[in-house]
Amino acid sequence: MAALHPIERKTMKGRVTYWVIIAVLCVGVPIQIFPYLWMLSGVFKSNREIMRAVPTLIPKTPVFNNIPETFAKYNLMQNFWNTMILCGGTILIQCSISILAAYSLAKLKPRGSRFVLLFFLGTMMINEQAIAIPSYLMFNNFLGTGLNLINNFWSLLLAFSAWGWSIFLLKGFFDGLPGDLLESARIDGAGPMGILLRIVMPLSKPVLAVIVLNTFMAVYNQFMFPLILLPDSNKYTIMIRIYATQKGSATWTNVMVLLSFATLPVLLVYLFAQRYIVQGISMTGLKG
Amino acid sequence: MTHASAAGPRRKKRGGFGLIGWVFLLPALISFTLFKYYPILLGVFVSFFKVDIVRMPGTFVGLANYARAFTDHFFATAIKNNIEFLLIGLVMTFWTPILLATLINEVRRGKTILRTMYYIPAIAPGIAMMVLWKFIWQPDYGLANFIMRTLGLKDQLWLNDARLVKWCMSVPGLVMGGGMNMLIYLAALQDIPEEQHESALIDGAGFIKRVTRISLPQIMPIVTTMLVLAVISSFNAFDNVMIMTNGGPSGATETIILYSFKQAYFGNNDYGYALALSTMTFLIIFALTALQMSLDRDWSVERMKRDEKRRVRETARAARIGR
Repeated sequence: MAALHPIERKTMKGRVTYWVIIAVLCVGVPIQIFPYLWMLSGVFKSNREIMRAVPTLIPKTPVFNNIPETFAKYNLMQNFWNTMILCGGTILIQCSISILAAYSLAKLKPRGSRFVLLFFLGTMMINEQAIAIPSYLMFNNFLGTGLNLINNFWSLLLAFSAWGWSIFLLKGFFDGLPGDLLESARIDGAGPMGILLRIVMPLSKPVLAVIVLNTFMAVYNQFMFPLILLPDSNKYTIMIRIYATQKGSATWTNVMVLLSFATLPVLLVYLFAQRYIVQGISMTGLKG
Repeated sequence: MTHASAAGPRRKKRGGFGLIGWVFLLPALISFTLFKYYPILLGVFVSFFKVDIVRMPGTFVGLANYARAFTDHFFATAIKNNIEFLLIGLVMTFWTPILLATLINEVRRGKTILRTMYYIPAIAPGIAMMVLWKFIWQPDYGLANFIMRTLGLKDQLWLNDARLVKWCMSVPGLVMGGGMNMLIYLAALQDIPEEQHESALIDGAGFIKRVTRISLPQIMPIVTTMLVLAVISSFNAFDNVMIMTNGGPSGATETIILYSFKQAYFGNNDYGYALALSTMTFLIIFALTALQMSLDRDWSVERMKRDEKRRVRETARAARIGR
């Protein structure tokens, strides 16, 4: 709880302390928000205005054709759909795998499964930066079959299918589900799959939302894997497109449109699902 | 005989789902083996080779790649850069979320709004923010130099200045990581029982003293965890240097991972050396993550169980009443 006690706030000193804190916090907010306004104002500036030595926050002569120009120049919608395919696919594959495994570990508990949890959690010690290049080598000739999955979405979907964090979170949640509820369903004749689909999943909506949203965010923001595994510009995700403009002929107005476009989906997701994202962070400080 | 018959039915009751349990675990076992453990082992294996990508793995060279790393002064610079990034991060971005969380925790009305205002900037994609800041630091028409001129100070080269570049690169972290970490600290602060502050107040402890003597020690476990995480992420630094500077100016921001990446790509194709470098980083990070997990486990598991058990119990009760 707060260090400043309600009674203390009735005193002069307490009141001053409180209002100093509020003032400091309110000064910080515009500083936090400002870079975004700056980005947004760049969307409506002309190429000449964005490069002026004396910059303007509100464009003097607002220009609106930056947006269609950038979309046409970079085929942004394709980048967007590529990203969505990866996000959607990863949510389906990774979450299904994690739910099945976590349910088994928490409730079915086959013999010897205690070590399996350690096997899953152990992967949280493997940094993605260390397995990115080996993954490239692996997908280049997938398991020695001569199958080349580079520039194929499957390489990324498979690479993202293992995420220790979500099994860790789901298992913790499933552990807390009352055993007698599941037991009575079992006596009624429901099989493990039926119990999972009809009882466990409906009860786990909050934690499932946390998992789905965090998976979305993680895949959406992913940089190193798509950079290495999807080098073809037709397969670029939005993040790789942003990176690619840094070495191409993009003007800063193009870049500002791109950045705003990249920020929009996460902002929308956040506004609709704020609660679950915040929960995901405070549930475990640990991610990745 | 009696022993077996006594254990038999019980095992049947407990292990009735034994086989199906393993079937449920199978997809995850395959996926974790193939896409986590196999690549890391492959990386270690390949680091002993001069790789030929067509005829994998190529020529065995023993520890030559590792030996090369120890005489490679670019690698030494990269390590130095990583450590400097870490130290600058500690000075610039590590303590600010703690302070911010402490302040926001005091707010009585409008706490949610303030929290959201500080958190929303942090959800923007990191890559997008790095590029935006690259624009702000741009020496000719960037915002940073405009502010310098307005204040009557001299223009700076910012990202093109080897002395300033690491500091400039940690500024976006104030916003990006700041919001995220602030939430974590805030969650920890809200767990501190009110009575502790009350009794300290009765003992005559002032506001600052209460924060430093009661709040801070209470959130120390999570601060320690975050410190280890900061060390890990600074050794993993890749996205920011790749996007903002590509290792420049004159190697001032070349990190180990970026250097390793450059050995494998951009026409070098020296995968063996690249993986020798990243294997060494992995070993450091492996040790640190093990430390971090042992620190973090108690805190997060405890908290999660407490929160979720309550909610599940309520939901379960409601479900039963509904039926």
